[in-house]
This record gives sequence, C-alpha cells and structure tokens, in this order.
Amino acid sequence: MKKNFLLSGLFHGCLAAAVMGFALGGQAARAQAPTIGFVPSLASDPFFISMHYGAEQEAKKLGVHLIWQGAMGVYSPTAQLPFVNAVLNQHPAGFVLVPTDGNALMPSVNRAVSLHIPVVTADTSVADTSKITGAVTGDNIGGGALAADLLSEALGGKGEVYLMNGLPGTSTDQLRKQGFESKLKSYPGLKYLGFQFSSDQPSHAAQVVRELLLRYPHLAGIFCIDDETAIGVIQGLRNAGKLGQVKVVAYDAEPDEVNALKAGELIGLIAQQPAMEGEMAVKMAYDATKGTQPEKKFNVLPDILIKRETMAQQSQYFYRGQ
Amino acid sequence: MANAPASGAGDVQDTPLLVLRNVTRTFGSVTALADVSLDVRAGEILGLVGDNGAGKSTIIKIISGMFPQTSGDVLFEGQPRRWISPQQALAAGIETVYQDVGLAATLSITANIFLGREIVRPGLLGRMGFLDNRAMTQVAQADTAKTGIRLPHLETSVGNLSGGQRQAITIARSMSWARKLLILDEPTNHLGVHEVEELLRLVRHVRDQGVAVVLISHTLAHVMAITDRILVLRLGQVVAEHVTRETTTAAVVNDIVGASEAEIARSLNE
Amino acid sequence: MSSSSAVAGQGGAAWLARRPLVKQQLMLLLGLVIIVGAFEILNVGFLSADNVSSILQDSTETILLAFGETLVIITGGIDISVGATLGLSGILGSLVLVNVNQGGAGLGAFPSLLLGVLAALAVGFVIGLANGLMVTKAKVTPFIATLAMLGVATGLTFVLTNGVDVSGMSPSIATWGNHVFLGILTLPILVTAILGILVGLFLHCARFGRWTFAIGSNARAARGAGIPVQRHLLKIYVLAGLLSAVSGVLVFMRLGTGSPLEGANDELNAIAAVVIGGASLFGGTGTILGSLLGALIIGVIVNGLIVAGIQPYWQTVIIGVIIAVAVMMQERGRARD
Repeated sequence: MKKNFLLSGLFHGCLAAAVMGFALGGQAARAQAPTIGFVPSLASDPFFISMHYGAEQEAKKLGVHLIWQGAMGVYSPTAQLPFVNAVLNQHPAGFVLVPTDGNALMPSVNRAVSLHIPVVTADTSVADTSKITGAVTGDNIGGGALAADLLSEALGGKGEVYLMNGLPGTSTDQLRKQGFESKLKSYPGLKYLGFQFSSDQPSHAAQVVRELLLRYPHLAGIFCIDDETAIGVIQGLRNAGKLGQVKVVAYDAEPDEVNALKAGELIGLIAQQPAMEGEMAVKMAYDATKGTQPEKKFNVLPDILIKRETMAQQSQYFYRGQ
Repeated sequence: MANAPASGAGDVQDTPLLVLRNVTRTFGSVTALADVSLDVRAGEILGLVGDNGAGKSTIIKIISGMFPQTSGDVLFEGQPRRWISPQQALAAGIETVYQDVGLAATLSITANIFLGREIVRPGLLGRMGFLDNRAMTQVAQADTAKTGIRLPHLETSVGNLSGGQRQAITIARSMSWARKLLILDEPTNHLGVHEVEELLRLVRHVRDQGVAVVLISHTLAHVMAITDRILVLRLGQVVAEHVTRETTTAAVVNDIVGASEAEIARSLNE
Repeated sequence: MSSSSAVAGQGGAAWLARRPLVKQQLMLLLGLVIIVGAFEILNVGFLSADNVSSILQDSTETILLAFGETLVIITGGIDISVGATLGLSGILGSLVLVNVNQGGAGLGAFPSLLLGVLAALAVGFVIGLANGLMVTKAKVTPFIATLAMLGVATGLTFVLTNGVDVSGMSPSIATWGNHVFLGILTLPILVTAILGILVGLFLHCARFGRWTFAIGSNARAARGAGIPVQRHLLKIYVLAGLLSAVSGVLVFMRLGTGSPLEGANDELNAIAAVVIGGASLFGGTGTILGSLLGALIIGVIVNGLIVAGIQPYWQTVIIGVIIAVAVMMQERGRARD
C-alpha cells in the first residue's frame, strides 16, 4: 500500500516536472512585455492557424507577448469558455476574441470589460458590439458576389448554378449567400437552381451532389460556402465522374482546397485574409491598452479571388497548415 | 431472524407445506420438467437426486420464484401460488442457497448477508433508506460465528474469499432467514470435511426448528446421512421415491441411472 | 463504516488497507493536490480566487454528467446519451423560458426560468426512462440503447433549433448563472456541490446505493436476494437523465443563450472522469467523490496548462496520458486486492 502511495506521488511529481520543463521558456518572455490574450473559436483550423501567424508577427513587431489559446477540434461555447476564463484570469492588457457564439460569449466580454480589459473581436463578432473596442471581419457579402462573377466568367454567362450551403445559422454563411444571390441577379443568363445545407459534413455534401446531378443533369456550376462543403462537393463530383465538367468555386483557401485548385478540380477560391485579420486585431487591442481608440471600429477586409491561372503568384493568401 | 417453529419441534406435519402437482416447465422446445408431482412437509428433510439435466435445478428455481411453471399447480401452505420473482418466495418464508447464483463479489460479507434485507436506521433517515451498518455488522458477526467457519474481517469483499468461505456465507445467510422452507442446491461442493459436518449439524438444527428442508446433492453419502425421504429425478420426471431409513445407496443409484446392477454388468460384458 | 472495538485496536494503516475505496479516493486527492501545487509554484496566481472559481465553474458541466454516469457504470451499464440529453434538455428549457418570458412582456424572468427548468427536467426524465425501458424490458444492451437515444436527442435538438441559437433570453439569466459570491462560489458550483453530496449520501450510505452496487456486482445474486433489479435499473437511468438535464439548465444559464452545439461529445469527458475516479467499467465499484476528483483533475490540468502557456495541441495528449496511467494504476490496485 505504501508503494502505491509512493508510486502515485512519483507519477504526479514527474508530471509536474515535465510541465515545468515545458513552460519555463514561456515564463521568461512573459515577465517583461505586456500581454495580449487571443482566443480563437477553433485553434485546429488552418484559417485560425493563419490568423495566429499574423497575430504573432504583429505582436513581435509591437513588442507584446501573445497568449494564444483555444479549443482544439471541438467547436462550442462551453468548449471555448475554459480558455477564455483562463486567459482572462491572467489579466492580459488586451483581449482578442473569435466568439463561437455571439450571445453565449457576451458574459465573458462583460467580465473582461469589468476587469478593464479592452476587447476586440475577429472574424465573427458578439451580439452587443457597444462593449467592444473594435472588430475586424472578412467581407462576406463581397466574397459571395466574387463567386457569382467567377462562375459567370467561367460559364460564358450561361448555365445552371447551385449553392452548396454549410451549417444553418452561421452568420458568415448567410452573408455570403446574400452576396452571391444578389450578384447573380445581374447575370440573366445564369439560372439559379437554389441551395441546400450540408451541415458542414463532407459526406453529406457528396450525397447531395449525387442527387442534384440526377435531378439537374445540365448543372454547370456550384458555389461552395466553405471548405468542408468544398471537399464534399468535389468527392461527389468525382464519384459521378463529373469532376472538371461542373465548375466549382469555393470559399476559403485551406490546404485541401489549394491542392484541389492546382489539380483543376476547382476553378477558383475566395480567400479571406485571416493573417491580416490577426494582425489588425492585435494592433487594435494594443492601441486600446495605450488608450488610443482605433481609427475605425468596424473593419471589413476584402476577400481575394484566387484563380487557377494566377495562383502561383498568390501563394501568400493560402491558409497555413501549421 | 429467529426461525419461527411451524409446529412442535421435530414433528413432521401431516398437511404438506409445499405441493407440486403435475408441474411442467418448458424452455422453447426443451422440456425441463414433465408432469412432476411432489410434496414437502414442515420438519422434514427431503433429498432431491438425479443426474445432470434431470431437472433438479429447475424445480428449485420454480419453488424459489426465479420463474413460474409452464403448467401445473404449486401450492404453498394450501394456497395456489404462481411466483414470478424471488421477492415473492422470500416474503413467503422460502430461502434458497443456489448453486450458480452466488454472492456479490465487490460487496462485503455483511452486505451480502443482508442483501435485499438491509437494516435501516430508525425514524426519518430509515424511511429514506439510510443503512444501519453497526446493527448489521453485529448480527452478521453472530450469524457467521454460528457456522463455525473461519472468516476474515466482515468488511472484506466477498470476492477475496475462498469458494468454501463463500459457500459458508451463502448458507449462513439463508439459514438465519429461513422461516418455512430452506432449499440447498449442492451446498457441500467446496466444503472441507470438518465444514461438511458443521453444515449437516446445522441443517438438522434447522429441521428441528420445524423448518422444511429440500437438499440437492451429488454426494449420496450426505443425502443418505441426513434426509428423511429421497426423490429421484430422471430426464425431467420423478421416477422413484425412497424412505431414507429403509433404502440403500445402491438402490438409489439404480434409480438415478435407470438400470439395475445386473443390466449394467451385462452390458459391460457384451 | 462502523467497526467493533477489535478493529479500532489495529491502527490506521490496517484500517485503510481494509477499505480500498477510501485509499483510492485519498490517492486521487493527493494527486490533485500535487498537480495544483505544481501549477501554483509554476505560476503564482493559479490559485487566485478568480482562477479557482473559473476552474470550478467550467467543470460543473462534466461533474454533473459524471455523477449520473457513475451510477450507471456501477450497475455494469453505460450511458452515452448524457451529452445529447444535456443538449436537448437545455434547448427545450431555453425555448420554454424565452417563449414564456417574451423578452419581459410575458412572465417574469424567475418564474420563466422555473418553467424552463421543469421542461428540461421533463426531457431528462423521458430520455432516461426510454433508456431504462430499453435496457430492462427490451433487453437491449446499454451501449446500444443509449446510442439510440443519443441519436434521437441530437436529431431533435437540430429539428427544434435548425442549428440556430435560442436567443432573446432575459439578461438576468446569465447574471444568475455567472454571479460570483463569497469570492469563488457561483450558482452552478453550489448546485453541483449540493447534488454531489445528496447523490453521494444515497449511493454510499443508503439501501438505494447498496442495491446499485449489488446489481453491478452480480445481478443474478441481487435478484435471488429479492432486489427488484428491473425497477431499480429504471430509476438509475432516469436519474442519469435528470442529472444531465440539470447540467443542461446550468449551461444555458452560464451562456445566457440556448446553444444547440452544447453537449456534443460531453459523455466522453464524463466517462473519462468516472474512469479516472476509480470505477470499473465492469460494474460493482465506484465512488461519487472519485468521479468528482477525476473531473476536477481534468479541469485543473486544462486550466493549468493554459495558464502555464503550453500550446493547446499538448493538452489532449496530456489528458489522454493521464487517463491511461490512472486506469493502469487502478487495475493494478484491483488485481492486488
């Protein structure tokens, strides 16, 4: 019995030592510089890995210490909260948040404000923007319009097009759809067949594509609202043997999508600029800690259209894998 | 928990305590019992013998409430009964030591002895079910002391005990609670010689209190030593009844196996 | 644990050796203390009132699920629907709350909350009952039965919300869910503590608990002893459902909105906590305190690693290692006993 106690103590002691070994590096850096906390909604997504890169660059330039912490692989408010709480408890000078839910993260924003920590949001924002110092987001409406432009160009202005949507209730998706549908109206030769939700599950998107092709054998173009949807649509077209025949435009420039573009499976990508969003967010938070208000509270960054022909020169817009 | 005498101690009653009449039990297409009739009287020890598959365990499970008969009547104290749960049989005063059901290995000796019949604290706490461990430990100590079998501390998990110790606990439990009928299914399998003697002594003691006892055992020596009557089962039917005092082991074996000694000898010589 | 005078004379070590469960819980507590101590040395401020409160608050979700899961696992079963039940009960509760309150135009915030709580508990009750009936009457194995309800609950959550939040909740709700009093306590922490004490008392000191252990240890022996096994199992699964519903309510109170994303995969954390806490997946053993400590160890490690500045990528690795080691140590301890 004594041995078990000893073993248990030894195990936990080793764990503690290992943890200490890991963190000693971070300790030194943290001691001097002011800190900015940054909690994305999903730390494992290449979109946010790119954002992290941009944030780190800006932090280095400004001489601040960036605390980047977020849930890996699980997208939900209660998965994000422990990270938000832990970061806030370290009393950073400024805080950047990508909320998993605009309502659910309000209590956390209120808490930060009550601790006199200025809050900036990136990508999506919160319900009550009066509490935040600044926000930066991508131009989703413009991006949707770009997709309509590209499809029209690729199809010579004539053909049936479809929108493969993602998870219902995602505000960014709704804006992209809005932009796409309104721009389509200016292309009378394009016939808009409608949209369906794929719940962000590639397998589901693949299934929908199969059924679509049965119903609309002349389907000429598809706009995929995000990367998960794109993967599924490509697979569905591959299964049906229509890869390359149906023109596909997709949002985001995740590594999978970039490879698909190179292979000719897609004709174009609407890339957001997560790295720049990260940079701007950190800058705004930093300025706020110095008491400076940002020039513009709500910042919308344009999306970049990456076409297959020009992609070699546009590699800086690809999302980073790590 | 004292055994309530059903009659004057030591007298075998005339009206049977338990009667099975034309009882049949099938499981799907298998007939485990076919048209079995028997009776048990208070104050007597009845032996049930037979080969594997003869139906002994099935009879036990019907009497103890594990499952009801497919057809036929079971009368207990003159009333027809059709038990579908052990709870009902236990409430009627029937205690069973099963061969294959055993004890709860992760629970303590005390917990097992009081399983299903825990003593609760007095008052409101008791109504909510809060246990009176001290009372149960005291009683358990007395019960296990009576069996004469060496046991470690009563808080020990039963899973840490030997087969013999576990069997002793199962027996001690049932003997303490038995009011009307005690059924023992192969109780001596794991017991040493000294322990078997103790057990037989206790069984006689229980019988002397006026409780009826049904004993199943492969060890005919024990059956011959202690029972008043012996019923022989073969292939789901009662094939013979012996009065223990007036019969021989060989005769009983004959009926179990279903051939006379002469026939066996003849078949061996062919 | 009463003892005769003979026991008292044998000293503490022997007393402890005879009670492997207490020993197990003490070791978990020791482990937790060491981990907390290490993080505090590493990062003065880890044990600040704020941080302790955050850890406890964030852990309540898993802890409540772990309580229900402990009961089910002790009976030798498993319930993988607890996360989905949390989600659906939270959604229905918040739907009722919002629709009755109507942004302040209808019933007041508090009575609306009460109605929402009732609705959530009703969901937990029904799902638990369905699980229990499938296991007892239809003789479906618990994994499959609860898997089915996981699907039903997840699907219904989506149907009711279309993937969109239940918004428009009175801001008082989030205030009540997050307000800190006495430095570290919040309503969710208090509710979890009270439920933990209640469930613990009934599990370890009452007949209800004794029968639960008996069924997990040897269901046939329990039945043979007259315990109404089917009825008891039904109660256990219903309890698990109710506890999940309480967790669902506390979640929407913390968030101030009904999120359909909540609860997904939470059952894995709950089961991990129960396993670290020392329960055997074969049934017959387990403690409420152990499961609580298991959930806290996970919560402390997640928070501590964040505070120590360790990349999020390492967190799941470290927790996986903890689970594996904890299970191995417990199996060795069990084999020795």
